[in-house]
Amino acid sequence: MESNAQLESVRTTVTTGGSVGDYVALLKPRVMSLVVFTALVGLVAAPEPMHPVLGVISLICIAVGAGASGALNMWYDADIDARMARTAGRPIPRGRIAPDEALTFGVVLAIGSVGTLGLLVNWVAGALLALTIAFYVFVYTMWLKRRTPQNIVIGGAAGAFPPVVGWAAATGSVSVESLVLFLIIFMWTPPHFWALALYRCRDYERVGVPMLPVVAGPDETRRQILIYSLILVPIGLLPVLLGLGGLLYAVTAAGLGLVFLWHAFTVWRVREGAAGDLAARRMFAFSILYLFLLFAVLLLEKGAGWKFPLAGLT
Amino acid sequence: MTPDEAQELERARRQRMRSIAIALALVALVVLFYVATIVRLGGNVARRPAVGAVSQPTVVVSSPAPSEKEVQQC
Repeated sequence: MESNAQLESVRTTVTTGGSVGDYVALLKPRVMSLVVFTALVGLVAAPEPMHPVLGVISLICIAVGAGASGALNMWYDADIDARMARTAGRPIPRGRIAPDEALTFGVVLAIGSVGTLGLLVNWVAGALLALTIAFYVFVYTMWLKRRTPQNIVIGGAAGAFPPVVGWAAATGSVSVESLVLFLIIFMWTPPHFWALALYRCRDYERVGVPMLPVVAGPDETRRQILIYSLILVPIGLLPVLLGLGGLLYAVTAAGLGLVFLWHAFTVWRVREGAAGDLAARRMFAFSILYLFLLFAVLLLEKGAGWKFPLAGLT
Repeated sequence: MTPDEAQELERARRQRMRSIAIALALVALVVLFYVATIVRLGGNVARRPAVGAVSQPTVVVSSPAPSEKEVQQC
């Protein structure tokens, strides 16, 4: 009831209409940049070369599709966004864009991006992009987010799809290699978001989102972060076994994996006060760097020809 | 200028910027579809007969012409 009243008050404050910048903010540009980057890696790592123009078109469609998901997420979550420090400045809670406008904007972009990708590139990629948007909006945002502490475990699949879409854009199919890229992001998501939730848990608690630290407590969250990290690091090495990554990737994945485990262990060990918060913040920041560097090395190896195969493994 | 007038001016400015952004997005979409079509068609675009050109009757060769030797045998 409270959230409905708050949303109604948001509706009435929209007087002058949003600026172009407000609509860009609806697309969650920072999330979009990571999506585009991982999709680019899927596209470049694929065995079949793609015409550069069609590659750029694919990335634009994937970016717009991700932006549409962000807009629809902000439309649905406007009530809780208004009460969380991290999200209170978003265009809908600030009264810059009406919720109905955000909904229309998101739907038009979602249909447009899927249709364009299907028509201009191929329908396997188009269907996968549609699945990604639907999964993020319906499964994560509407179903899981407010109901279960497993929300980001299962919902993380939406963020893991972009390299599969990129791969499908280049090849017209889904392969084991693209599923390994999916798996890396899928297993990376829980420790990444739980590290954030550890020092933002009061926000989530206030709005009733059952993040793991809120439901199971910080200690259990720290244990889960360590478990998922222990699973993630070996999965990060799978591209080497499949021949997708070479020597540079193997060294990078192993080195970064050890640092990731060290951060997870520190988060698990240091639990009290400001030091505990700092450990979680550092883990959150490093997790972004970890994923970025893993995919950047794959990109360098394939795109710039820096790949030195590992004898006996590939 | 009263606050109401200032707000109306600001509303009109944002509306104009949104209209420009939509126009640019539509132009970009047209260019995108045009370029993708050219890329998809590839060299077939160049092989397409010019508009107004008299089309030649298609010659269908169903089997190789008989050699001189074969003709003599007949």
